Formats: sequence, C-alpha cells, structure tokens
Amino acid sequence: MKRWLFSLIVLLIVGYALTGLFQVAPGEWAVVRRCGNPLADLRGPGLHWGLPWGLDRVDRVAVDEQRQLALGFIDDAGPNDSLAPVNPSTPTGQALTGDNQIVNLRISIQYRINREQLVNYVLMRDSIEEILSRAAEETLTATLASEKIDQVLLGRSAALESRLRERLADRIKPYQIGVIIDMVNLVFAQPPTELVEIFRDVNRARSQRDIALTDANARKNADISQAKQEADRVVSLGQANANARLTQAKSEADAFRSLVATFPTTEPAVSAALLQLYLSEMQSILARMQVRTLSDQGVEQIVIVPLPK
Amino acid sequence: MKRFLILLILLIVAIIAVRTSILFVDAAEYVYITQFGRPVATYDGQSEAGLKFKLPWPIQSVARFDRRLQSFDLPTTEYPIRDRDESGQDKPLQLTFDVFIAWRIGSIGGKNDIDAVDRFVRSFGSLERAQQYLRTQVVSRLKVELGDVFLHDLINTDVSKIKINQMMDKVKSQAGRNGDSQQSLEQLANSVGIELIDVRLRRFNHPLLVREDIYNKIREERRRQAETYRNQGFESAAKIRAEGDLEARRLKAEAEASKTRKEGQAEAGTVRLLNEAAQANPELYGIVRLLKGSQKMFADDKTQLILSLDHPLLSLFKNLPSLQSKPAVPGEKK
Repeated sequence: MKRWLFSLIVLLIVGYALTGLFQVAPGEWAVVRRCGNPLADLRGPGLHWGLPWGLDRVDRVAVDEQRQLALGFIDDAGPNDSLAPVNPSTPTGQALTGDNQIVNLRISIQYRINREQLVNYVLMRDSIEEILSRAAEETLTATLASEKIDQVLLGRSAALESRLRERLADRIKPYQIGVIIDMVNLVFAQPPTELVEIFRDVNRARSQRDIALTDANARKNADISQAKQEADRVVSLGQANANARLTQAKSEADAFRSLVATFPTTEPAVSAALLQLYLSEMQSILARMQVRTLSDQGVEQIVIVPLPK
Repeated sequence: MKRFLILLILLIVAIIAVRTSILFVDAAEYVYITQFGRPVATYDGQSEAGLKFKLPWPIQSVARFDRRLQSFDLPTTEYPIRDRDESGQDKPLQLTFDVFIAWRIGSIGGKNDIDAVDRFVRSFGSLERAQQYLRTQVVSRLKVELGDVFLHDLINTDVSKIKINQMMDKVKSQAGRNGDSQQSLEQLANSVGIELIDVRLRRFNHPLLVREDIYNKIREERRRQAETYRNQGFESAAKIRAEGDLEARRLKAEAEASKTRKEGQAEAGTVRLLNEAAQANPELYGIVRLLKGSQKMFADDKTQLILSLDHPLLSLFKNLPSLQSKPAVPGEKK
C-alpha cells in the first residue's frame, strides 16, 4: 500500500516535470514567459526543457513567415472584411480623392515580424491585425485625399504604393507592435458600381482621342515623308538639268573652238566655208519641215525640198 | 476521524494561503494590490514581470489590468463641416466620419505608469468604462475641430494643403476651447490614468442620403470630361494634319526653289563658257549661234515653211547652178 502510494507520487512528479518539455518547429522561435517574465534568450528550433506547466508560458512564432492582411472593398454585398463597418453608410474601402471623386479600393499589406521586437509582437499578437487594419485604413484615406481619380484608376499615380507603405510604417511606429511593413499593394481600384458606366465612357472617349491623335500623327508623318521624297526627286532633277546644261555648253564651246581652229582665214575659202556651214545647218532644219511655195497663186502646191546631200 | 478532518481543513487553508501569496506578474499587465481595499502596491509588467509575493487572500487582493495598446472605433457620425462653392460662398456640408482611438492605461510617454494605474483604477476600474469616457471626450473635441474645417482641407490635389493630420493632432493635443476645460484631451486623459496615443480619422464619406446626388454630380462632370476628350481629339487631329500639310508644302517649295537655283547657276555657267569660247571669233560665233538658234526654233517636224520660188534656196528650181553666180546670203521667213 505504502509502496504503491510512493510510486504514484513519483510518477505524478515525473509527469508534471515532463510538461516542461516543448518543441520548436523549423523557422520558429519561441518566447518563454517564466512566471510572466519574458526570458531574454529566445529558443530556436529543437526540443527544449523549461519549467513545467503553470510556470512557463511558451509562445512560438514563425519569425520569417511573410504575413498578409487584405482590407478594403470587396465586390459583393456581404460583410466587407474581418472588421465589419461600424455603420453601413460608410462602406469600407471607399475613399474620397483629391478631385472630389469617390473610389473603391482594396489593398493588401505584406508584413513580417521584427525580430528585435519579438516580445512586443508576442504580447500584442491577438490585436495586431485589428490595429494594422485601422492604421492602414487611415493611411489609405489620408493618401487618397490628395490623389486624382484618373491617375489612381489608370495606375499612374506616382509611387502610390510606396507612399502608402511609408505612411503606414510611420503610423504604426508609436504602437510598437513588432512588425515591419514590407509592401502595400493596391489590388483593386474602381469607381463605385453606380458610376462604372460613365467612367467607361470617359475611358472610351480618352482612347478615341488617343487613337485620333495617333492616326493624325501617322498621316502627318506619311505626308511629310512623301513630300520629302518628292522634294528629293525635284532637287536631283534640278541638279541633273543643270549638269546636262553645263555639259552641253562645254561641248558647244569646244565644238566652236575646234571650228574656229579649222576655219580658213582668207577669201574665198572663208565664203565657201560659211556656205558649207549654212547649208549643213539648213539641211537639217529643212529636212524636218514641210515647205510650200507661193509662186503660182491659187494653186496649192506642196513641194518637199530635201536639200542635196 | 475528527482530527483527520481538522488536519484536512488546515491543509486546504495552508494551500490556499500559499497559493494566494504567490503572484505572477505578466509582461502584458499591471498588477494592482489592495489590502482591505486600500492600494498597497502596483507592479508594472514591463519592468517588474515575474514572481512576486504578497500577503494571502483575503488580506491582500489582486486586480490585473491590461497594459497593452487598446484600439477601438467611434460609431460613424455625421458632422457638419464647411465647403466653399464656385462663387466663393461658404456653406455647410454634412460628412460622415469614422474615427479610431488608440490608448493604453498609463501616463504620457509611459513616464509614470505606476501612479497612472492608481488614477485609472479610481476613475474607471475597467477598460470598457474608460473607452466610454474617451468616446464622449473625443466626440466633443472633434465636433469643435471639424466646425472650422473646409472640404478642401480634407481633400485637395495639392498635398500640402491637406490638414487631416494637423486636425487630428489638434483634437488630441490642443487645449480645450470650451471654458470648462483648458486642458488638452491628452492631458485630460492623463489625469485619469490614460495614455492617449492616437486619435485618427479612419474614413470619411458623404452620408448615405445624399450619395445619389453626389453620384449625379460626378456623372455630369464625367460626361463633360468625355466630351472634352472627344473635342480635343478632333481638334488636335485636325491641327496635326494641317501641320503635316504645311510642312509637306514647305519641303516641296524649298525643293522647287533649289531646283530653280541650280538651273539658274547652270545657265549662268553656260553663258560664261560660251562667251569665253566666242572670244576666239565673235563674228563667226554670231553666225553659228544664229544657225543653231534656228535649229532649235524649228526643232519639231510640224512646222510648215512657205517660201517664194524666188527664194535663193530654191534657185535650183529656176536656174541650173553655175560657177559665175555666187549664192546670196540666205534669209529666212516663216
């Protein structure tokens, strides 16, 4: 009886002591709170032995895990996100823009744990998403307040996402919740459902304008390039004409010089040479002509006069 | 049997006494210890977490308070702000505002949290009641602050003119304007053991009732915008085409001018070349030019030349050639 009681007590003590065993999975770190006081050294992956149940509290944290929190507008009628709107008259994820327009937005926040503030994270663990959502919504509202809706819808707003990230990081700094904001992505941006049609019309008009401009520019370029070709042709024609004229003049001048060189200088050879010149030229003129005589009046007579060769 | 019972009761009392004299202070809380209702000690989990001892219950009792950051939303509320229309006239504008508050039990900057816990316990005793208090205080300050705000302080394409941050900072830190309290909200909260960390605007929007009017206004604006785009497209396209046309004409005109210039230069060169050649025998050159000129004048074969039979060229028809008669200097007639 006594031995039985003794072994039971020993068993109970050993069993209790064994509750101090705990395991940390790969990628995790554990914060141990001994009687409520977080121990300075964190426990990495592996098997650890601390104080038994009731004395140690172990919080395991996947330190390197990329965490994500989405919030804002969801395109259905249901409750919009984990934090249901306090009052349905202000839809979540709807913001006023700097040019007094309304836009529905949804963002996704990528964050991870700040290792240096791991204890803070563990203490705040349950309320981190709540605080982050509130701060993120503030960030969204305040940032969109200076944006132009067209820029936002076309995704042309300069560095919007990085500005959101910076502002959110600043906003949560005093809260000391032990997280680092890596990225804020704008995953959805649309005008309210009631306005989608008219916004589409504006987009259509804008692209029509762009197409008209592209067309006009293309036509302008084609006109100019055609004119350039034409101009090049005219210029080279001019050049060719000029060259031909000069070449001809040169050959005429040369021909005259050689005529002068061979022309006799004394009579009667001069007269004979002149006659020869005259006849050879006239020959080629008259060869092409119809020649008529007027000797017999009233009688039309065509006499072709080929000069003697 | 009776002895055993007494022993058992004593044991239980001893266990309870030991258990209630041991105290774990968690890093996430304040532990407030009272002795018959009188506060005797406060432990701050941030600096004093761990194992503590006290007198056993019911002599000393323990109350624990969360020392972590708390956040909650105010219910969505409509407040009037001011708007300036196109004519520069001020008019009231109703907007709905969602505000959240971040706070914790403590003192400003966490400098004297232990005393703050005492103030908190005496003022509220629970987080819910403290939130109720903050809600009332923030709403009254917010209403005053928003009364001075224009729509263009909240939304503006010029980011430097947006005053959302300043406005909310004022709600938190500016001295009260109602005669009864000159303290800022932050100081007021501090006096009841609350560190007010943030009062921030979560969203603002047009009230549900006027939403349709706002949509109509936006639709009208957008329609105009679309029209502007279409007109712009039309006008700019016409302008661009006209530019192209003008440029094409200019190019062609320049080319023509260049052609004329080149041909003119060639003509001048021609005259110079021929003049130089003519120097050798100007008289003979005159004759050659005359003949060549005639060549060109009658270059086509449709010209009809009508001559009298008396013309020396046709003398062959009248006289046989003889060596005595010298042919006359020819003359021509068209």
